[in-house]
Amino acid sequence: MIIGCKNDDRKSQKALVDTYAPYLFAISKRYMRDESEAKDIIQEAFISIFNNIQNFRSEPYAFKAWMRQITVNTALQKIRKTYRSKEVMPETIMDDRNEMPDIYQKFDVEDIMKIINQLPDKYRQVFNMYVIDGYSHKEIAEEIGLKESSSRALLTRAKAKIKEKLFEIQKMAI
Amino acid sequence: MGEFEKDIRDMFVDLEVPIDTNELWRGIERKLDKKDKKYPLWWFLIPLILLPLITYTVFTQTKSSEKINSKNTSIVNSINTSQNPDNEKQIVIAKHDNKTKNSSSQEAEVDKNEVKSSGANLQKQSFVDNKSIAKKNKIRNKNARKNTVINDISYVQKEIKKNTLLMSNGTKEKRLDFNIFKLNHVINSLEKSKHFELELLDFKPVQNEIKTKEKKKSGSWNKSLDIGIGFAFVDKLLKERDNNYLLYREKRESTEAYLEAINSNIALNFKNESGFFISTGVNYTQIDERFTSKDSAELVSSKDNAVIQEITESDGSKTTIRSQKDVVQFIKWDKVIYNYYHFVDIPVSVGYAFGKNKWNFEISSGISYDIAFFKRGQIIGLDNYPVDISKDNALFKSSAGLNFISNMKVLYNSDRYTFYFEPNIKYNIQSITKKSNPVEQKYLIYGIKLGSRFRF
Repeated sequence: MIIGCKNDDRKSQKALVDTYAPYLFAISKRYMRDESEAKDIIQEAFISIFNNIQNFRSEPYAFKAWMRQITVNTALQKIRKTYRSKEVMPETIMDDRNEMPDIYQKFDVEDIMKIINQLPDKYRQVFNMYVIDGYSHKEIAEEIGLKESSSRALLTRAKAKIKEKLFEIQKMAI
Repeated sequence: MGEFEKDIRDMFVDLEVPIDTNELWRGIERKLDKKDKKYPLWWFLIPLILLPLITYTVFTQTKSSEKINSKNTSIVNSINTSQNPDNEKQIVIAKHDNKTKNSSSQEAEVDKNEVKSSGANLQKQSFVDNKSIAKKNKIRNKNARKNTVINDISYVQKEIKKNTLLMSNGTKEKRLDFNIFKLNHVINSLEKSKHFELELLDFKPVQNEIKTKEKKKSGSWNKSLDIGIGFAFVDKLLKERDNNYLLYREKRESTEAYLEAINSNIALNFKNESGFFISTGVNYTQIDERFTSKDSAELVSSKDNAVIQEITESDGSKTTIRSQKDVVQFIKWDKVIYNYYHFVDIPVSVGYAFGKNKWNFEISSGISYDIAFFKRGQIIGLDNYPVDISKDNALFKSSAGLNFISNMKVLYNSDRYTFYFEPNIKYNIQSITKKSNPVEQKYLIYGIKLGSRFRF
């Protein structure tokens, strides 16, 4: 499939889309609030993948990670472009030592995805990048254009927000 | 990493969300089909090779037809020259063909022509044998061949006179060499003739002179100076050093556009008689680009020991609580900046020259080394803000390094001047950006130059 894509073979490209679109869509959905935006992201990500597949020289097992990285980067770029200035970060400092209660275990993946999607852009980016996609704070700082300390602060706030939301939902359920 | 984070990662890391892949594929396929098709290098190389070849072929054909015409009229010329009292050259053609010797005496009479160009009329003797039409035709053919040779002789005769005059007047060697070449060519073809033996009577001194000149010339180098200027097209080749910077590279590609490029040069050429030459000098290239960026970004910086709260105590005193504070700064920009890259190179190239008469062709290739690289303007920096390329020393090298260069010249020699038309190519072998910059930047420059050559 990779070789076919390198040769611009449409059938191989279609097969790649069929195989990996659900996986990449899950990633883009985490970063984008809107589903149509998430679809645009994976479309752009696949174009980038096909345009740059000649440069992919690692082992085939690394291919999935490579596509993941492209999708994340595409999403980050899109967020930067459509950044909404009204999202000013609060200046309160949250205590990072507060542990996350176990209530999240009662929620399924879709509920948590919805909560993540409701986070402000920067919170969501940092949370996704650090917790799920395995970026370090240094890498996040370079990617988004922040200081490392800001990335840590944003992660703390993001987790606090998630905690708040989880409690809210639980209260409503009771 | 806490338990929560681990659990969330496990939950999401291989998550798949269903999507209509057919609809998605239709969108992707549409975009892939629309993708700009860049013309590959060989699209440029084909005309680069074909143009001089076609020019050469067309020119050669025109020249040969001119030569035929000149031969047809050369009998008249030879008669005219025979009336010229200055002309003291005599060329005698003696019968030599063995076959002719054994043939009938009538044929022998036909071949036994003596051509005396210095005052003697060309005499043709032929006896027609009414009994045999075949013989008649044979004689006709022989006459035709004979006339051709006579024409050639007449041409040689003219040239001898011209060269003698040139030598006596001390005319430029270039012109003389040119005629020597033509003369030798005609003499060789005459000597190879199966039907006639050429005896050049007074030609020997000229021939000796030619040999001396040639001997003197062989092993020496002709020097010339080229000055040229032209325009060029540019392919900007950006490549990320690391996959992490793929989008940064794409961002740069989308914000920077080629406008135009000019190139000029001064080249000193040392050409051997065999046609090989070596060339060096100074090349200058200027590439103009436009940087367009309309965007906004958020800059979050941490401020240590900042006042985050003020508490007014019951006694009226104020207590300030200090801690780390994030300062959010919004930056918006809408920029159209013109970027300029200037390169000054020292080239060294080797090549081969060929051609004849007024048209000559040269093909050469080599390397050039950049001695001065100036840039001005802005590009998107690593942190996604526009940066000034003339001030940010972390982005570009101070020298663009080694380049591959190649060109093909079509030269036209008029009596006094030489002009040329030169399709050329230059490629940055090394990236012009620093190793610390995650994107390599190279240029493929292909252009056309017009110039003039001065011999000394």
